[in-house]
Amino acid sequence: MNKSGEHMTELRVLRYDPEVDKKPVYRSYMVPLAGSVLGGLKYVLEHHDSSLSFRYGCWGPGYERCGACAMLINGTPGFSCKVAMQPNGTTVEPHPKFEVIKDLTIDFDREQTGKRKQTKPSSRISIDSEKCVGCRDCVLLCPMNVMQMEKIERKGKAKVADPGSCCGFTCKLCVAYCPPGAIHMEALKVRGQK
Amino acid sequence: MISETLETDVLVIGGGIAGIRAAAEAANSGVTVMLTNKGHVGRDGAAVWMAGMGYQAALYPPDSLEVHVEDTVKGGKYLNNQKLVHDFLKLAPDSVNDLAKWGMRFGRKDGKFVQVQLPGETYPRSMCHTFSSQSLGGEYRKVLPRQVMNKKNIRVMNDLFIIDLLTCDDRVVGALGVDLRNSLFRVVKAKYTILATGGYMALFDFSTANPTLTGDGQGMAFRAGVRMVGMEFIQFFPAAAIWPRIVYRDHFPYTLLWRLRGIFYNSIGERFMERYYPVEKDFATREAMSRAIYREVKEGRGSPHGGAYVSFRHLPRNLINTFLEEMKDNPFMKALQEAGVDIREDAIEIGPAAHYVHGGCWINERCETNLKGLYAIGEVGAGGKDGADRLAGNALPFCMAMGYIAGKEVAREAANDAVPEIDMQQAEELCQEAQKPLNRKNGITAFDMKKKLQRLMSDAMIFDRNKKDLEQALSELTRMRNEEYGNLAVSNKSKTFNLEWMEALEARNMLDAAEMSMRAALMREESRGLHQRSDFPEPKSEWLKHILITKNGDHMDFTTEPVSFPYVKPNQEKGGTTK
Repeated sequence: MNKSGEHMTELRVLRYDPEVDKKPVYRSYMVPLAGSVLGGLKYVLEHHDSSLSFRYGCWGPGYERCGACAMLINGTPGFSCKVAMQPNGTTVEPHPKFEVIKDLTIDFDREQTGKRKQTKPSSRISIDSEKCVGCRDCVLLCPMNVMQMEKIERKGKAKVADPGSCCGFTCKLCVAYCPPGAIHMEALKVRGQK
Repeated sequence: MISETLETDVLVIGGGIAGIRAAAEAANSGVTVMLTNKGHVGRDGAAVWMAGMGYQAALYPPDSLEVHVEDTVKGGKYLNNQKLVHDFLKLAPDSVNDLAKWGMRFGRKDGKFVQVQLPGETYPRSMCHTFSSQSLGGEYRKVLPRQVMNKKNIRVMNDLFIIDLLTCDDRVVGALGVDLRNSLFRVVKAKYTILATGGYMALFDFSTANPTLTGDGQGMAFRAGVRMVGMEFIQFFPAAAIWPRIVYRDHFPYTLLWRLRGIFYNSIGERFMERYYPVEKDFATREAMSRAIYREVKEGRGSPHGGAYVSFRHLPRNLINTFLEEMKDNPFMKALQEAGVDIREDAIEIGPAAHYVHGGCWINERCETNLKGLYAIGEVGAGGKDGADRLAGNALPFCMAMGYIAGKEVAREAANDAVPEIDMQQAEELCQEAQKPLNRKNGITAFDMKKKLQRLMSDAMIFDRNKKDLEQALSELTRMRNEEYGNLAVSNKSKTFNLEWMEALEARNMLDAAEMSMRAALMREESRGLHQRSDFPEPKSEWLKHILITKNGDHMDFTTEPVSFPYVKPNQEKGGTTK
């Protein structure tokens, strides 16, 4: 607990500043337990280290997801505005799908090439290709470009091309907006998380 | 200091719905367009967080444009700029067809679009999604960015934060921006500039909108000499979640209230809504609900995190279980569950959150401001179109229509004009000004300044505005501007994605927006729509006018512009004073 009686917890952030750092390093900060991981990062920015850098857009009110705050939280991809701080410490790293600009800020225009960090997805998505009508909605909607189109028997069908980048239940846009309801998402058990 | 000078026919600042629409429309006519955004186009702006059924269009008889205009003007308490309302809403049905053509999935039945009725509508007029449970936000996100991506003559500049407009002989000739990726200054020379930066809801910490909406457009337009209007009207969403923290700002509780008829309690366990509204009790209108909660908090009977409790415990267990079963996929209900809150037993804390602002540039029906070469659309292109209160679902048809009009207009004009010359001296001075906080060693941080501003705004500008509070807040604001703004220091000197510097640049725009908003609220001595003064509780017919603000040196000049009534006349019996 801190002075004002808030429960505090540890937030480990993978920091990398291309101007000074040769390679990424982890730094630890104490932040309030209540709230989202994004709230914790904002707390670090305001109270501990103003050189921290991360992206945010909508801050996750309501139903919609802008996808700007996607990162790896304890090894699992997710939107940090939607994931609660863990009582036994949380580690955040940049989302491995895109090139890193600084710290947790990624460049959505440039996809990472070469070897990528392994992730522990929190969910498995599957597409029922019988039901899929090939409308491309999921491909256009996915903030992490997980879906791709492929040709099956001369018909365009969606397929899961990059399951490791999927932000799972923090996003779920593809499931919610699939017109024929062909996409399913099931939760996987991830070690170290509730 | 300026690293690069870019040239374009049309510069669109802001990549939300209005900005994308304008850029796409201008590019269709063959001119070159540059679309800049502080964040990433498609991952920013109102499109991605839009709630519910926010799109109104009068499509089928007996509904008509006239009825739609009348509803809007009545909702706006007769303060609307009726010419703009009429001209923009005329395009709403066309925009629906355009959106449908682009791939938006509106609900259809028997060859017609399905429409539902929201409060304030004479006929059902709000478009729905194909699946009734989904909001339309995701659909905008899907179809709109596609209109500007991979087009030959549209250059999308992500992470370019435009900080000021460049003027030359009362004409806007471009803008100055900071590339957040490398902290370099870039000048964009443009024949025409379109502002589409949204509102200033970030002046309130508790807001349902993006925290990136810091009144950048309002700030830079004001500094360039544009006439501003409607700054005193700020709309609040009645019931956003405050606690548990993980669902902070979520607007789902309002749906929950509407579905399950929750009961409000204050911290001493009293059903306070009965005291304010003996007839409607816990199911009063949105505005009445917000005001009651606000007063309870102000009088010290709020919940620990500054709101009111809402409980569903009075409901039979099987009823609530059926509801929970139906909502099991809902992200809000899931988050509550994970946070250990069971609505069968526990109350949630809710409160009113800033949702939309009516303040922006004074424009004509071509979306043109008083400065040549500058157009303003969407929320920042206010023009008094929303009056004293906005009808639910009217923001997006306005955005779409204004984007279309401004895009077409500038494309036609830009085809003939030459690229104007810019005053490099002015650009250099603005760069110096922007770099000042970076050069200071010690001082006040932008975070503290923002927090202070937010506190001032929530003390004086939410409900029950009065002369005393407003004057107090204004004198504090003036002190902040004179003493603290000059001492704003950025301790982080990094050149890559320097968030602290960005916040310092935003703080300047927020100061301007806050001051305009407070001064206009102090000047309007009546209560009308969203502007409620406790010392002037009645609407007055002599205040049927817009307050216009212009910059005059270091001061603000206030003038008024009477409202004209070409389409809907105010109710004569009540002297146009319908509350």
